[in-house]
Amino acid sequence: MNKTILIVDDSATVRVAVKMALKKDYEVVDANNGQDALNKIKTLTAKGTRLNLIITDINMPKMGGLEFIREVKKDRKLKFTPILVLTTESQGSMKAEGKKAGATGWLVKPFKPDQLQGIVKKVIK
Amino acid sequence: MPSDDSEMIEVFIGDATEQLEVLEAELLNLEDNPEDPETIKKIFRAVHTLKGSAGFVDFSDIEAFAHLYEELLSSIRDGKITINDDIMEALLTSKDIINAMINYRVGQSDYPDETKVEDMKEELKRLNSGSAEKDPEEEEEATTGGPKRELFKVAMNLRTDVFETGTDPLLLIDDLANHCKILDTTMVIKNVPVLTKINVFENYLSWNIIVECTKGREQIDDVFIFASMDNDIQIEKITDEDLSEMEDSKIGELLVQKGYIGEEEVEEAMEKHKKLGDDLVKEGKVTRKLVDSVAKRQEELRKVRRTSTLRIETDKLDRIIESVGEVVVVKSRIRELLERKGWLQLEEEATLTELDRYITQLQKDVMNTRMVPIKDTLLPFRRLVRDLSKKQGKEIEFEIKGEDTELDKTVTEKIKDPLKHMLRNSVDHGIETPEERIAAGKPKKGKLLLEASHQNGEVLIELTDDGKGIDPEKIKEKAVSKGLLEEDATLTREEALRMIFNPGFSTAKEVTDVSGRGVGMDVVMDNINTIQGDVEVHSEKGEGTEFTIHIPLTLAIIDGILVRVGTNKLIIPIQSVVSFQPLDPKSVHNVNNTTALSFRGGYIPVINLGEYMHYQAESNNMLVIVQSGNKYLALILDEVVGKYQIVIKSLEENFKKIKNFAGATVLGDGSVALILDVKTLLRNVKNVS
Repeated sequence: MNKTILIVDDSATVRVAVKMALKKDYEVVDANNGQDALNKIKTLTAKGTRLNLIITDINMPKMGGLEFIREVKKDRKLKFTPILVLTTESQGSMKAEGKKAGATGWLVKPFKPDQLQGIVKKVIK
Repeated sequence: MPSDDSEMIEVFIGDATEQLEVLEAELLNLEDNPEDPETIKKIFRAVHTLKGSAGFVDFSDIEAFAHLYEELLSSIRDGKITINDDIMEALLTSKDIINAMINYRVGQSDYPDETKVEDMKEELKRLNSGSAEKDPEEEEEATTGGPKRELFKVAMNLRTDVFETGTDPLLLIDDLANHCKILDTTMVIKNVPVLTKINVFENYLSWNIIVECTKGREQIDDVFIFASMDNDIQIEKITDEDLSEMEDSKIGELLVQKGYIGEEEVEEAMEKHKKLGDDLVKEGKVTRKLVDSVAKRQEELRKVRRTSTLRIETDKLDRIIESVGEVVVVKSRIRELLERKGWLQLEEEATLTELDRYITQLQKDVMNTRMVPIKDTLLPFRRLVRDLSKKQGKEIEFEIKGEDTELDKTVTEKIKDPLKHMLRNSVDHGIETPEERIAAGKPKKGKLLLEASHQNGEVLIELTDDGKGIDPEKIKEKAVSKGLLEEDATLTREEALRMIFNPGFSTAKEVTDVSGRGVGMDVVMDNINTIQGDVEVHSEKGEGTEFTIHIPLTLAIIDGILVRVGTNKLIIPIQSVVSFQPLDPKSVHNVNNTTALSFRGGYIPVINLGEYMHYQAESNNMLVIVQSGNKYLALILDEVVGKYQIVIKSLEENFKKIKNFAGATVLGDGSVALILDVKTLLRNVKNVS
């Protein structure tokens, strides 16, 4: 079965970009913000789907990325799910914050499809 | 993959359009409330998201422009720049430029003028750097060479569950001490519960810390960058005077905070004092605007309903509506066939009735999916009114009410233009300049209210201003001078006001986008009429004008009565029908060379539909009285066949526009009936007084 990746971003453009880059090799699920993502995770867990990777933006309405990561880390089942943080250059310090919150790595927006594919391959083994 | 690219662009356009809508609404909020941090955050986020998205579709012009925009917003957000008129103007114009850049991509507009874009970029840079240059303390630092000393008050209000997120308040304070000199720390213990209720995993404390920094506010921001995401951390610059004042009031404050004074004492003391909010404002703990904006936001939050949604293309919905319409027609046809063959027995009848019930439910549900709040149509007008009034030096308080009122999507699209022109007229001609208003003894600021509501199965949109009103005498004079009215004509007040909707009354012949004088109200009326709507006007000279637009909830399915003239079948929309009765020849008279019917104590015009439409009529012994607004008309025809629910098919889309007909429909037997356009009929008929 394909591995499942969750992309959390309030920009539809980013969500579609990630989907397009990864849909060939992975099952990609998307969410608009942290809150929405937590709900999606709940539904997926109920269906027995395990997430293999979470990719999340930082600045989002309702629930931002850092809070979302911390919520995820509280869930024992998801504790070891790798998390990639999407940042822009103007948010340099956010990388550190993401790391602090429990993220595995980061990727600067905008990225090219092969960049994303590369880092995802590295993180998911 | 090119298909992926075009899909990405399509997604980006949708995404960007959404962000721009948010951006504009929030920018207008910001203008009303320039200190609200939430609004600034939302604006920043919209531009930030836009910039990020643009990068994915390689729209580097948008990305570059949004970058400068974001930089300025970030300075505003961080309190480095205070918003003024120049900045507000730049923020709004920048939004327009990005809007135009995006519209250009979808072929909806020309590319924004290059020099304008470059000028704006410079302006954004200038505004952003301007603040830094103006900062006197920074200059001081440059000249004296010594470190710049600044005082800050940090209010650290941590959440009860702050430990769960891995934040340790002590570490935060330590970290702060590493960067700045801590002058004073007050721990607020008023939220600590009684011992038995303390949960060791929860935090009940908050801190007020006074620090002295030499490297500016960013240092403090950095300490709290993590914690401030979900805790309330307020960093405020203070002066030496503030500090000494704080020392003075400190004893009382400490007593309260540390819990040495009980609730009763506090209340007692409060009564002697001014209100707490005022005190807080006075003490500089919070600003008045902040108190107000917090209250306002709470109200907004209550409004937010959480519903799960699904986006559907309008085309798909239209097809469903069309199919439901066809089902209605086929059902009528089955009934008719059964009846004709004599097979319509009790059981068949019951089954058909059941089918009817489901179809009605289905119809209702499908119609509901097309209902959208009028919000998206009305809210952009805030900008229009703001820009227009600025340009004309008028002061207008514009309010929109009932923005959650729902109506058919197609209807919302069609009322946008007429509404825009009516608003433009209200600003141009309705509301006076501040000087004129003061001279007339009115408040300097004019009021303009746009309110939508549901009433009796239709949607009402009322546009009210407290401007100079319309003078019926002037209208009459103008109508006479334009040859629209006989000099000795006697008109009621209402009739006179209605003259403004007459073609040829206003100077401008078409609806134009240029802010011109006298945008044709006849065009407005025409537009509203095409969606089966009507406009009423009331006005008091010197007091204001009120326009009421009546529009149907939906255009797709209407109730109508089917009438016959010879072999021709016509539908009259039921809301236009007043009554029908066999024709009594004695009731028809000749008044001023016009055929007229005595009706409710007066005379109304009569049309023989057969003659008028050049149909071969048979008996001409039926009379149907129809109404539009406050005008009546009697129609002579052969027969009233019955009441039908019909699906309107556009003549323009399927054939071409025909005068006097609002559309066509397919009847149960498969034949076509035209739908009478009562309003146009009435307009073309000579008045009988």
